[in-house]
Amino acid sequence: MMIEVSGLGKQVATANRHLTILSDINLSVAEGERVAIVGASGSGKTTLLSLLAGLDTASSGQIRFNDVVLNELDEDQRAKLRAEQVGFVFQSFHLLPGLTALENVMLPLELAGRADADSRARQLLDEVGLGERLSHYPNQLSGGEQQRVAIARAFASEPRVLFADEPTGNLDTATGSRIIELLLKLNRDAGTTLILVTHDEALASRCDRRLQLQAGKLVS
Amino acid sequence: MKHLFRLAGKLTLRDLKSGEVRVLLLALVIAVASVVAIGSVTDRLSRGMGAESSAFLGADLQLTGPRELPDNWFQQALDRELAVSPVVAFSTVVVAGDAFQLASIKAVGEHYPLRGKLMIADEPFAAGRQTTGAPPAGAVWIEPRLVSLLGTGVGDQLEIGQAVFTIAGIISKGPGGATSVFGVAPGLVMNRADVEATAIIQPGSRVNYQFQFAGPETAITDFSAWLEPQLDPTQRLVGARDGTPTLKTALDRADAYLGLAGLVAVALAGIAIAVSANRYSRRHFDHCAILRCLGATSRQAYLIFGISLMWLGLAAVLIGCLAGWLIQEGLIWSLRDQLPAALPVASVGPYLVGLATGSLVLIGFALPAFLRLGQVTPLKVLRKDLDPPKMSSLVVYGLAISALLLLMRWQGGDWKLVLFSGLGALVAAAVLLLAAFLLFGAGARLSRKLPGATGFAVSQLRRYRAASLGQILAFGGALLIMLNSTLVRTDLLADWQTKLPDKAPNHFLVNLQESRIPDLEAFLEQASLTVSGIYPMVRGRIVEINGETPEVALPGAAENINALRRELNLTWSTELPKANSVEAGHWWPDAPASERAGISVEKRLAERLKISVGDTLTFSIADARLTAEVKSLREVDWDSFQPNFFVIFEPGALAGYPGTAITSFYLAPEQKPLLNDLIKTLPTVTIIELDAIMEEVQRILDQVTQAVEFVLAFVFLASIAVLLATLQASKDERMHTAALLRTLGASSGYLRTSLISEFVLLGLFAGLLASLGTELIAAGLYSQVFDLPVTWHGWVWVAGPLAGMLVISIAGWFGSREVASGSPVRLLRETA
Repeated sequence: MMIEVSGLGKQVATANRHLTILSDINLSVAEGERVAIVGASGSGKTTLLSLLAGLDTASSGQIRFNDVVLNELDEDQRAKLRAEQVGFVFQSFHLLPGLTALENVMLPLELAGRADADSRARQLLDEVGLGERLSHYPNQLSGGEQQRVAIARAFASEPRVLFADEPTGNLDTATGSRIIELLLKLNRDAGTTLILVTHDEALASRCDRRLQLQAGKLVS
Repeated sequence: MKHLFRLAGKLTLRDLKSGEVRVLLLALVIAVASVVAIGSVTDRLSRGMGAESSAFLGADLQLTGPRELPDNWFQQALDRELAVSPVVAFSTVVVAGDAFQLASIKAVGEHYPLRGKLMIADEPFAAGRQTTGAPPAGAVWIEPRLVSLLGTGVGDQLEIGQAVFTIAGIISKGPGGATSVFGVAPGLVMNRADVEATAIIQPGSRVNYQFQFAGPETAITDFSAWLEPQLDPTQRLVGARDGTPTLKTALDRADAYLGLAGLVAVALAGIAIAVSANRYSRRHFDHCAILRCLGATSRQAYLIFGISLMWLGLAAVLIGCLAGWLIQEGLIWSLRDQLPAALPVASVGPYLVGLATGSLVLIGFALPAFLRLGQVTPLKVLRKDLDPPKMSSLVVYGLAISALLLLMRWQGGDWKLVLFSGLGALVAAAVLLLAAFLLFGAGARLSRKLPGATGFAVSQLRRYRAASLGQILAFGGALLIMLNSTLVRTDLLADWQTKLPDKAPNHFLVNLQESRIPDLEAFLEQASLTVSGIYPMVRGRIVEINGETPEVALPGAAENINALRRELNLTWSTELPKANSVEAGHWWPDAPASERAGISVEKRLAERLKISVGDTLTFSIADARLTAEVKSLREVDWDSFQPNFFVIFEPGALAGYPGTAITSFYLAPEQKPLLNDLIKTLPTVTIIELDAIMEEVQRILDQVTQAVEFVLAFVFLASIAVLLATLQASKDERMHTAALLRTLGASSGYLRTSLISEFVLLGLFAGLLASLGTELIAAGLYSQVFDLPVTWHGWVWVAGPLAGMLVISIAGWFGSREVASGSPVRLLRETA
């Protein structure tokens, strides 16, 4: 199993009480599997994604990521794990405005100290159809193009697992479906495990499995 | 590591291009440029001024004593590679034919003078040619007064003691000008090798032995520090600056002011840096979160932004040093007519201080904001509200204050200056903030009464009370410093100007016989000169203190008190002279009557003689003795170019004693030849020329004035950087609010009015804060540091609020006019 979750819970302290966001989540995701996390706003989808990706720490329970227990890692060890095994695609793209498309894709490779950062980034941008726009800055690109750069960046470090948070949420339907195609194609080619959070039924239906969250509990 | 440097470089370059770090960079450049420019200019000017002051003294340092000075001190100075010139000075009568006259003799060696020019002419009051060294053996140079008093000229012979000399030239300009206005005998310079032949110096003779030293500043300071503890009470060490008291206080004050202003410019730039670094850091939280999300460790994040900071610092230091160099060269060039021709080149010191200042200001003011970037959690990519924890205020303020204190040490700043400035600013800020806070509280009612947009501005200020107060503080601080620097500058300059008013008397006439006063008046009238009043003068020696001889009254101390060893100039006066103030007792006629004549004694002399009001002094005047009672003690401002007296009698008390008169007048340079006619008309009168000294003092004060104004420009620049940084910091918030209002249907006219009203109100409060702070700080500085009278300044209360409203609304408007005119969609997208 790529990811195994048992008894996962997350509480946050507000001004005068503890708020339970997730409780007693148990699930497992196999290598290469495509899983969609769906649910209403505030059901805890994004929190679950952030816990699975090691961006946040759980209040209770355990997450086993490729046989490593995430709870036992400190922030820098989790950063190392993200650099080596995890890729992200976000709703609002999250490109660095100061870097060109090429430089944005090179970023995770440079952080990992890889010597082939430049050629690999060029190849990926070619694959997402932006081979001609390498030196454009994010504000010179459309929303769909920015998301394609973000997808190229996500696959740059050849991650074992790709996490996507509402990847089509900021895009119109046509652009959204093209992005879905691209994401799924790259995922298939690379054999990456894909875990995504979405409201988009079309996207959810293209996944192998859907996890339904309701008020912090996994209902299916 | 290399790739992190590259990445940080790319990010910095992009930030620079997009204007993201423009204010930060500007502030840093201002800090570095001001330190470099102020440092090099003051370094060059003060070394130049030092050279001019040295020219007065004829040396950088002078040691005097009544006995021969130890040879090993001479040797020690040579070992330290200083130039040394021994001089023997004494007074004796010189004889030419039937005429004889008391003269002050200076016997000098081959290196005389070590500093400044010696000009020798063939005629009295002629320009002369520059000369160095002593006159040849058997020859002397004499001052013009001696020419008229002895009726001799160049080529004639005169006798000093047992030797005969030839007059080889007339001194037209020499170092060591008049050190005391009264009782100075005309001067004569001879070769030291000839002293023995005169047989004048015998055991017990009153002789003044001098060593004059010259050399590099540090060597002189070190030597002076080495020598000082070894001096006995009769020996005196005089530095170039000590020679002329007016100059000394002026230069000391200018130094203090320049030091303070330089520091203030840096501190202001520091505030601007802190404000813009905060904004920079806030706007980069998201970027940092992305980096963390992509696998950057916190160490890597720290490194990336730390290196970014370093690149910025490096760029700013380079630009700042270059700008500083250009500015100081420009200033020196624009001042070329007033400066000595050969001004020393600036040393590398100010540039090193600039580099250190840049780094220190960056670390002290920007580092806390940058450190927060390293603490951004990667989860922020998903949750926008997750800002990194705020740094403890202790760390933030501690770093900034330590940086400032360190800078102060470098700039040689005065602790008292900083203490009083800080205290004044603190009190003013507390009072004003409280007032603003209360007023904002009452703003709810006010906003309902005011017309739409203005009312909205008031409620905006009230809603964001903390932010508004912060802005008032920042604006007010910048305005306060502008006002304060202007105020102190104006008062310092006014104070110097009163010391040396235009056409101040620059020639004194002493030894004027009362019977010849009508002749003098006739001469002056013909030459269209006006005198500043004719004062009586009687010479007398103190022989008893409270009925005992000085040796008995002051055992062990009497021989070291100069005033007991020479005749004093005594005068009488109905009015308390200018530049004098009574510190104890009463000025007549308010003093209680007594049988004895009343006198008023200078305070410091009274302290040395251990006398106070009611004690008596007995004077020997001509052949008679006169005992007088002390009625008052006076503080005398010796800096003023006025006739000042240690002892003043009450009117009538000196009637019947043989006396002369003294007067003074202003003589323009082109009227100088009139002196020859004057000496022919009144051959016994002594002319003391102070014009050369006063011209030099005026010139130096002019230079200091220029330097002060120049530094003020930097303070203004730095203040503007603070204004810009503060405005920029609040711009995002304003843009967002404006965008929302626009979408809700507010017209751009409405937004414009509300924005301007907001700035006008902020400016008003900031201006009031600045005025109050300025008065408080000025009061502290004047009484404690600059030694100037404390007064209230009405104009400050008008200028502060007016400048605040004008400057802030204009700058604010230009800084955020797109808030009112930009499209709401664009605004919302930019501020999302």
